Amino acid sequence: MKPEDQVLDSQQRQALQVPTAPEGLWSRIEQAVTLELESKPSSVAPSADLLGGVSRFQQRIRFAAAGMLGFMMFFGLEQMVTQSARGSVTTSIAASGLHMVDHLQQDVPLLNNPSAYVDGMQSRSPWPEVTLATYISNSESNE
Amino acid sequence: MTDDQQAADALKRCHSGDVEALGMLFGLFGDRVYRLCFHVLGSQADAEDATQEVFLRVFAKAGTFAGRSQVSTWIHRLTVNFCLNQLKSRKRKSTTSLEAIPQADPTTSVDGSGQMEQTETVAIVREVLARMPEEARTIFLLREVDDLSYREISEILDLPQGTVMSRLSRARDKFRQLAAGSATDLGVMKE
Repeated sequence: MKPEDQVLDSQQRQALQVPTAPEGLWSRIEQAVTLELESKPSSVAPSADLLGGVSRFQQRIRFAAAGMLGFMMFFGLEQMVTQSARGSVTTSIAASGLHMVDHLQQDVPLLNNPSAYVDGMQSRSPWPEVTLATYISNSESNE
Repeated sequence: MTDDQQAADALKRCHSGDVEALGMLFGLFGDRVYRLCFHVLGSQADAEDATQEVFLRVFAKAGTFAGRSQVSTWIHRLTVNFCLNQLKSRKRKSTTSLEAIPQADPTTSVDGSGQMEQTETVAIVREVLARMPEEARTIFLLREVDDLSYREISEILDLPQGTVMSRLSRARDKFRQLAAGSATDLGVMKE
């Protein structure tokens, strides 16, 4: 310390260092700590001995490993479910598509074979072919 | 093993619930903590309560000590924070109480006249300290009485070293100014 910074001389400094912790203060503190421990047993971390010699670091490693394993299991299950769901949807879409094509081929022959469709329509038409001559003859007979 | 290594080891044991380890810490730092509490708070009773509370906190917070500073610095920090909070919460109206000024340690003086002079010196210095603003008094005590370095004080008060130096300079000026008024007649204070 620089001389110009010195405010207290040695006597004054010594005087200020006088009060020391009174007798009995430690026992008072010890009692308070014991009471605190009794009232809040969980506030102090359990010692390694109480945990079967497992240190805090080992506890953390185990916790981290368990957490990671749990995450991996969850993630794996989630992936499986997703994949499965995707598969069933794909299958469903594919099946629907095939069914639709089959349906179109069966029920809409126009798309499959237009000429056969036209022939079929003509042959299956419930209406007789009406020509101008037939129409005139029918009209005359009605009159 | 140095004091600080011993203290660090004791702190680890405190974290696992070892009360004896706290006793070791009290043996190492109890007087310094009590003295600082006494000078900042101004009475024996307050200093005893504060010392008890500080060591309870040391025990409870032992696990939070990161080892970045010395254990003594960490305990000083807990002490200063507790004392300043106490002062703020009490909102004392005027100056700090000077009741129960303890007697000077008999080992510091040899004869009767020396003891009387010592007691007088103690009373005057404490009176001046009590009239200083709280923060100035704290920083002054950490430097002048506990003889801590600027770096240690900056860690304790969580201030940059430059700020510590300037505040300490102002605290010294304040001390000199107050001392000039109360002790020049007795010729106790340094000019």
